[in-house]
Amino acid sequence: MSTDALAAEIQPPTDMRLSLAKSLVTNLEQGNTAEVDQLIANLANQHESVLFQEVGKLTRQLHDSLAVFGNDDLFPDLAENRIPNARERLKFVIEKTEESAHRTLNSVEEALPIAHDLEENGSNMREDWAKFIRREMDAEEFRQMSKRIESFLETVEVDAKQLNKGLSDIMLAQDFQDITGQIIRQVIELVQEMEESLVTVIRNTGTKTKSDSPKYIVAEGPQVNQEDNPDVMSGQDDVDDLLSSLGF
Amino acid sequence: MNKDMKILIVDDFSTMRRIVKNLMRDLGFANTSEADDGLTALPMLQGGKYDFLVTDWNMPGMQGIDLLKAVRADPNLSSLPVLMVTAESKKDQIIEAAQAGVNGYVVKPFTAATLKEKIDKIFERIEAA
Repeated sequence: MSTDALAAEIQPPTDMRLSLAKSLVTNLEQGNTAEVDQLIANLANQHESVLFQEVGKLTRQLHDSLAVFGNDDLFPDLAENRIPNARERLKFVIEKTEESAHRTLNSVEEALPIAHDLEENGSNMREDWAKFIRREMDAEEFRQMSKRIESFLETVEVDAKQLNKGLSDIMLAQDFQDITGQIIRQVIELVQEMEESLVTVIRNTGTKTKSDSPKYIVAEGPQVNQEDNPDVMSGQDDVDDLLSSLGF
Repeated sequence: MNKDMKILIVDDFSTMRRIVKNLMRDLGFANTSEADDGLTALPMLQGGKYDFLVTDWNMPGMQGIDLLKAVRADPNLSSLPVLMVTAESKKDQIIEAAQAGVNGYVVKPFTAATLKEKIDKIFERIEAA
């Protein structure tokens, strides 16, 4: 019910109040104290009784809405099954993504020293080779270089195989995306259904939502729709600009 | 800048801690420890003579911003350089962190170059002071 409609209903019939008011004025002019008190009480009662009726009506509406809450299968099902289920699924998403991230990190941590050694050995070999080309190498040094080249070529083969395996592992560790994507989509659908149900309940009970913005600064996690919010920094450059404007 | 300095990395996600740790090692800082929120980090800081704190903001237990405030309020830790590495990217939050005395602020997702730049800047400023 709109506020205007409610206000209109609370008003008692105009003519009744008018006649009471007229009689009140007359009695006041004549100084009939007892009559005046009675009339004022009457006027107040008029208003109160309509108010009580209205409160009664609201109570009944609230009761009906609560009954809908309890009887409708949707809410118990949501509370008992679907929300806990969604929670489990989201936990599974965290586990899956964490597992994949660790698998990836394991491979990277194994690959990094291999790549580093390859770089170092390669660079040493290039120096040796340059020395040889400049004819600055005696026979003994050449023999040693040949040995190093031989062992380097063997290592390169083994290392390349190892790096290949690591890269394949990293690729395979991305298989979570498919599964977690599906689960998250299901949870989004559930949240959407809940939102629609809650909107219906709110509409039926006529509750008006009021949003007070909290003054306390709290963590909000990643911002997903940055474009829509002018208060969100779009990246490190924005953050740096803001900080330097603060004298950083 | 002393490459052997003792660094505490605080993040509730172990993967993020590993990533930061690896990046730090790439930059030459191998002396790192980890904590998963402010409540575990604070006693470590109080007992451990750390030289640098890298912390996330959004964590269960004690949040990064509260850890920063606790560090600044502790006379033994108040001058510890603190770098925040976080997904919190709202203007109010960054101002809050600046007012709480953060030394650098990196928003996730970030690159190795950004991390290096911020760390260099923090220690340049400290050495200049």
